[in-house]
Amino acid sequence: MRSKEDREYRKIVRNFKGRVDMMNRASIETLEAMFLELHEFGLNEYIKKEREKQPNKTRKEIIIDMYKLHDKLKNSSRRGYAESL
Amino acid sequence: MLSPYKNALIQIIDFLENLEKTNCVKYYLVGGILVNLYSEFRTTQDIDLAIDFNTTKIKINEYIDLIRENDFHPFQDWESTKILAEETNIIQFLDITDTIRYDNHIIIKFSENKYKKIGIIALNRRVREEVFGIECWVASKEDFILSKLVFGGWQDYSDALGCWIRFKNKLDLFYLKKTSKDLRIERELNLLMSGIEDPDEYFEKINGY
Repeated sequence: MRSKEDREYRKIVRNFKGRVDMMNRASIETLEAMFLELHEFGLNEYIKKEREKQPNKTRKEIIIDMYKLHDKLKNSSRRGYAESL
Repeated sequence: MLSPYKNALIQIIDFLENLEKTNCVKYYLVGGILVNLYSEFRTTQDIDLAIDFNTTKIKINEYIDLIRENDFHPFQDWESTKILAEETNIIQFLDITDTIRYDNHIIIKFSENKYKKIGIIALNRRVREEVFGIECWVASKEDFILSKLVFGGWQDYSDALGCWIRFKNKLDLFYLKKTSKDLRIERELNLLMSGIEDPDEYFEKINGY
């Protein structure tokens, strides 16, 4: 469990409200362009690193494992198992 | 060249818009893809969508056949996709490049389970928006918040809080309060509306740390 100081520090550094305020000032086109660029960069880097670690894995196997990890992280803080909308 | 994510979005929206016109299968986008529009900036790996088979003659297995015929690829294989869809009410598949996963939630018309109930509630209030320059059906802001509160993970609360802070003066508060009762997430909504400004604080309070 995090200490109170850690939590306060995290809160200040994150500046969530400031970031949300920024969203109202930025154009949706800029935000979406940033999203696509970051997504593509992150994906390519992930595939590159996984290929270095496990050269025998196919690209599709890497992608499938990436989503399995993604699901694990996404569901780790959820209280109940959400099986469907 | 378009990015893999945008290409995958175009592929699925073309397919679903056509399916809605020809077979009355209604759909809407939900989840992380809407955060830039509704909440705080972040990226996501997948494309979440909800689809309603209750007003069409198309069966789930026929829908999966249509997906296959329209150049989508299986996450593992199509037989497993069908079995998992029956068991979980989620159809998972990939775009034509085997890169982007779609999490296709099947809407259940009658259920007391809040995870299932939110699907049909949001369908009735879906709205038309442009996402990455593509016009399509998406969950409304209010239903985006409610579905995030239903699922209840740290990222979900963070997304809901961002939407609340950004649009609180424009949201339908009566609808939010009424529907939160129906979904038994009043406590989550009240805390969201209490003036809290940080997702850690929200998550700790809601979980009683």
